[in-house]
Amino acid sequence: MNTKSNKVKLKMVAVPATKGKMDDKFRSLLETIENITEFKLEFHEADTYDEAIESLVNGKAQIAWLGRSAFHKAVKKVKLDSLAVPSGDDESIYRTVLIIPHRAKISSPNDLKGKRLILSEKGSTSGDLIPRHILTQNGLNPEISTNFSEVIYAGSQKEAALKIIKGEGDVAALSDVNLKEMLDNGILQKKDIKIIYESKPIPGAPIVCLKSLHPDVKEELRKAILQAHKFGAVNGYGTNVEHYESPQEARFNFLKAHLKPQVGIKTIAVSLGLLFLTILVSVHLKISPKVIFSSFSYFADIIGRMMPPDFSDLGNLVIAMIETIEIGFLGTVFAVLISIPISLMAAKNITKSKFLYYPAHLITTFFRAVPEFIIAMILVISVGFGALPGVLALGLHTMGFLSKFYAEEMEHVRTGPIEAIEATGANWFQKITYSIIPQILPSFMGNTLYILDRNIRMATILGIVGAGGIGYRLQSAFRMFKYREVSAIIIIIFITIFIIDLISTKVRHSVK
Amino acid sequence: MVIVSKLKKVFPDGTVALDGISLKVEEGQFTVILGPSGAGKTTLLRSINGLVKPSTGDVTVDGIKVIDENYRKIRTLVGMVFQHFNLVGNLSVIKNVMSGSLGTHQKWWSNLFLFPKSHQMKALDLLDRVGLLDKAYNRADELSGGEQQRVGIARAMMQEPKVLLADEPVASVDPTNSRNILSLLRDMCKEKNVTVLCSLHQVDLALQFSDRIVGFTDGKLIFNNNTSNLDRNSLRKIYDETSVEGMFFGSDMKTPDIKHIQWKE
Repeated sequence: MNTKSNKVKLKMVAVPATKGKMDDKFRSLLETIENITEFKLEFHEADTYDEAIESLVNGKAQIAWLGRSAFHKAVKKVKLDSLAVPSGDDESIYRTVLIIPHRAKISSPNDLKGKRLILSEKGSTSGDLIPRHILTQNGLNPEISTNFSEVIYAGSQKEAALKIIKGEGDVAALSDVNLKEMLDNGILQKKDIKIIYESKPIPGAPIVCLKSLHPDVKEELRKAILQAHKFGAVNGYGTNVEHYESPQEARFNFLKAHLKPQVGIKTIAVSLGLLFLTILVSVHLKISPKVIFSSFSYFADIIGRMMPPDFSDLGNLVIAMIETIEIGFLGTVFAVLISIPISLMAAKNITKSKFLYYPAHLITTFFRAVPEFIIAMILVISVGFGALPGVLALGLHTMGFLSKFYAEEMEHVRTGPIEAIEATGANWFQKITYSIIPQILPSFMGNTLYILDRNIRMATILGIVGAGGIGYRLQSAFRMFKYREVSAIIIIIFITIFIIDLISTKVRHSVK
Repeated sequence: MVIVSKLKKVFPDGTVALDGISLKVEEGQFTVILGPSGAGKTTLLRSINGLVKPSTGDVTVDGIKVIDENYRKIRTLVGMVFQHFNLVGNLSVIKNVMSGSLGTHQKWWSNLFLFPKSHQMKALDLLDRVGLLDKAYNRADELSGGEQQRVGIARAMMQEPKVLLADEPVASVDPTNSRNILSLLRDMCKEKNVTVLCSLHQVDLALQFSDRIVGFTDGKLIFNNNTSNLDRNSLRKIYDETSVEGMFFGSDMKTPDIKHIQWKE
């Protein structure tokens, strides 16, 4: 049996996070450790943070609780090891709170602009560093003089709270550990103050020891702290310390508190909603896989009657195809010519007048909304059969698209070059030719070529309503049940479109 | 360890970016590649992870030759930090960091932006290291330039690289942030013994953070020694005579005023 004199004497120092109360905070933990080990522990609350660090540096104390800010300062001067970190339930450690006088008309940190801010002690974590961080994140960096009319250091958290009651400041930042204690002791009354902000839990600061301490002593001490809660009362700095955990464990739990699910509820809800909608719409439209499969035999039948393709009238079909290409080409030229002035009117950064902007938008939207098929049907009735209604229908409909494309392109032009050209004293036209046109030219060409490509494709079926070209032949062949000629026409259209597609892709790449 | 031997790169337009470079980078060293723009710094870095194919010569990383067959393997060993951060702007910060582990996390569900819990925890740990834990679930493009580069570093470290390439990591960041980012990069790499090759054009930063400096001009190696041995003469060679002449013209000579020249047709 060891006698008392054989016990290893160790001294623990703590920073005065709550002045005069630090002994209370650690007493029962230290007593439990003394009971389960051979250590004799002496406790000392330092007067200042620096004094605590100093006593570690000169070896007067071997164990310490330094809070966070003094800990970071201390590791620059002396090698320390973390022994254990306080923990409890989720609410374990402390939070920083912002309090205001009860009657003040402030409801969130956003209303604090221009007010008097009270912090407790310069450099302390819960009373200075964390509040600064929180305020900065809310756009109220105390370093910027316009955010607060005054930043006052009260000296301690108690003084900070008292200043609020006395009306010597508008908002004070302190830790909820201290706040609770002041409320319990009756220094503060609940009705006098209001809490407007509470931070996320701030992880507890570790109990540390000198790295130079003997490894066996260190190990035994660590074990004792981690197991202390099984043998007796445990306490420490924090609202609800229930036990201590290893620094690794503490780190893991701290990070885990920040973890959020990988897939949001929103994503799941939207996915399920879309699935449900798809099923609902299919049911409403009476579309079922069964019908699709049962119509397969009819489909096979008509394909059979289309074989082999009948190319006996090839010459005329090719002429009709060429006519179709011409209709698409002329329609595009027509669309481009109208689109240029209209897009200038529809681009917000170029037109300043609403009387041009809104009519231009109305016209383009209208022609985009009405399919060329319908425009062509109306035109066939008014101007008669042939190529003209096809050209006009394509031109008007795609004008709606091209004007929108061009206008949007102009609106998204980088403004820097425009400013630079304006700054040289150039006039309105020069501004457009020098700063806008060079920027939009590549996409202008790209969009136009895409519309040309599309118009030629669309021209093939426009003939169905009597607007000339190969579509007209296609429709007649269907009417006369010449299915073999139908397949020949489809092949001709396919080959033509394939070639046009190749050319247009090549050209579009070369204008970039 | 990175070994570069007789590396030459000629681009299709005839530009000689690297002109027979030989170089050995020791494990765990922080090497800064210094030189004016156009010197070939970026090309050298990119040839180490195979983003640029050398014309002749070769590179080995950790004993593995950088050739087509080994690209995937090399790229899991080599992390990269980019000048313009290259984050995926509309993904969250943590997903950007976790994407650093895609080289090893190849399950089909990785394509649904899902990662194992261990990866999530590691990403949070790294984000805490770079001071951005609170912004883990923000969109990456909501962050400032300096913050984005810190995410870039976390992403590179997520990969647990043996070698880290940093291509002008602070060229798009203000001076105060530059120092913070470089010291973060240095500390994190020293801790994990990661070999760093970092290109810079700021001499003061190179002197402050590097163990070794490799100086480049016109694709040629001008200086390759410990940082403490870099003197004024070598510096002048790296930032060659042309710039010195430029300074001379700028200060002592006036540009002739062409208005007074009579054109004869």
